[in-house]
Amino acid sequence: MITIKNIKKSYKKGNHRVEVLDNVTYSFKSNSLYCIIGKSGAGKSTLIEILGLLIKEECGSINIKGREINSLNEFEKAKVRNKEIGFIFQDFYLNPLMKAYENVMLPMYLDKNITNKKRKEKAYELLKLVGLVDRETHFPKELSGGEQQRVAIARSLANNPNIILADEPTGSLDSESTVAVLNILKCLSKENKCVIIVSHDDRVQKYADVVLKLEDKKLKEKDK
Amino acid sequence: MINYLKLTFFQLRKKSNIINAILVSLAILVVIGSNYYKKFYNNFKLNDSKNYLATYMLQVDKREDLTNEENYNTLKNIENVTNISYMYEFSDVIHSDLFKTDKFSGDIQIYNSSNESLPEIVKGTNFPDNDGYYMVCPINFYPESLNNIKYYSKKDNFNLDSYLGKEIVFDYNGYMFSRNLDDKYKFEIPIKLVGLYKNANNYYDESECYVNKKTIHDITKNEYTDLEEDYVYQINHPVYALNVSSYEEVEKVEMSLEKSGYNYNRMFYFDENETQQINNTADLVYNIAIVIIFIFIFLVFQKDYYEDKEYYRQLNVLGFNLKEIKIIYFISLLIKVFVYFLFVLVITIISMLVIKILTINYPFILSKLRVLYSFDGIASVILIFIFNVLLSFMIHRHIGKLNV
Ligand SMILES: Nc1ncnc2c1ncn2[C@@H]1O[C@H](COP(=O)(O)OP(=O)(O)O)[C@@H](O)[C@H]1O
Ligand SMILES: [Mg+2]
Repeated sequence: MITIKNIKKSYKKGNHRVEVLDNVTYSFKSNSLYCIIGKSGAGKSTLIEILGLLIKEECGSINIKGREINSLNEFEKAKVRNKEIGFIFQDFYLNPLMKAYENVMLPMYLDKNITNKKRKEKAYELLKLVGLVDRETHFPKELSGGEQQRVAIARSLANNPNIILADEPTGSLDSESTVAVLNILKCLSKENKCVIIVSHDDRVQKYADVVLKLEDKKLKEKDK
Repeated sequence: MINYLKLTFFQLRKKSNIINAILVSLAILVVIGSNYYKKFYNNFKLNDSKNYLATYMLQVDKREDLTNEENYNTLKNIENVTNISYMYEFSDVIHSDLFKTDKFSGDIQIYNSSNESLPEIVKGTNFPDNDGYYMVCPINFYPESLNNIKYYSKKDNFNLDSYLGKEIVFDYNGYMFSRNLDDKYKFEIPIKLVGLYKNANNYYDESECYVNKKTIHDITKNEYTDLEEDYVYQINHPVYALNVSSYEEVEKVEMSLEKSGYNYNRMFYFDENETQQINNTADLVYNIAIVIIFIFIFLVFQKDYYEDKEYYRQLNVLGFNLKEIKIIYFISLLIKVFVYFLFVLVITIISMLVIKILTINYPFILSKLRVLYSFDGIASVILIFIFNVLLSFMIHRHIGKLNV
């Protein structure tokens, strides 16, 4: 589904560079839920942003569903993000000025071939899928953290992507909401999707098919 | 095509948009207002002013040691003096419903005069004596000051033929000094229209009613008791009005007058430097206003951008490309500018209505406001917007771009 090879990434800090990822190589498969753990500052977010084409790696290659990403320009990358990847963030990253269903609709606007009515129907469907009924027209600030994260999940599914990337999705949630969110993500991973969760939460590891540890700039599988 | 409008409108729900719209529209009003201020002063053109009759007329007091004839001849022989006439200081306002129409209030201004200084009478006579109340008026009479005159046409003139030789009863309300005059100063006075002089049937020709000295004295005496002597003297003794051949010669005539021992005043005095200064100041105020307002609107645009920045980034994360995001930003700028204009329009219409209600009796104030929306005022506002939109667009050309 998504394969990375020899990924390197460093950041400038003051007048020297700090290497965060060094020769990271891995192949993520569909129908699986991955959990990436690692200490704070280990480079987990960096890795997931590279996987999501939000930042650019220094060396190495990324291959999504057989397509070499390195050869794509910004426009094509944006399109891949829209079609193939769904994002979930720790702090939800919803638009406060949009109602729940409008947030979910947002990625669908790039598909010019469906009507607004269809978009809305689909958004309602997805909100139902994540267990949010009668909350469709609420603004984010009118929803609890768990509800907001479920809106974000619904949005990540808007264009039915094969890859879901979640950076600490339960980091801001209470335990009840955490379980609900993880159950949804687990279900999704069984529908021919590749779900990659970054977390240092032990509960997440229990849900994962594969646990990966990011340590010393490398990514290694960890025995369960 | 992507529904760009819809994607723009989400972000217009932001509450600060209303505050921005109010701030920006007030700023636009400042530009338009200072443009009006500039226009108002620049209209006062130096060269036009020099051709204005009163700028080359001098008002000269009579020398008491000379007879009327001697005075007249001395003044007449001064070089560059083209004409001499008499002028009296006093004038006042009286009222008759006879002259009241939807255009006119019924108030008319009367001027002190004497037979020597009356215009040529074409019907009737001049003042027969100084024992009764008499007046001489123009054939085509329009009883208001020049300010309002644009609003009426020839057909609004009164033809006074039919009143010739008749007495008209006027009310006196102490208008010249206070509209809230004590009732004891109010009275009625019958004045006989004895003569008509010819004026052209257009508003810029003379249209004034003259009364004899007894009339002006009896109308105004209640208000002048303290200065009785001086007052009676002024009513009975005119000053001379000298026409000088041109504005440039005025100073020469003044020197001659000084030599001959006359007191004089310019009828209308202006200082060229001061006039230029006022014009320059008005230009400067306008230019400074433009710069300040430009910066102000620029800052509002930037604040607005930083509030929306997260949205544009979000769009990029969700798969919108930079070109699409730029279009959304551009449309949002255009919509906002459009809304700001609407705000200005609404504020203006409301303020015009308020002014109209307040000044229903003073239509000329409205006539001045009409020029408030002058072309170059609007043009500078449009330019400020165009440059601000382009500038913001340039500065934020990487809009929505993620950290790479
Ligand atoms: N944009 C950036 N500029 C500079 N340094 C960064 C940036 N993003 C992350 N870093 C640094 O890279 C390292 C890894 O960060 P991150 O990927 O966020 O770690 P994690 O998500 O595992 O906590 C940290 O030392 C962090 O300070
Ligand atoms: Mg992180």
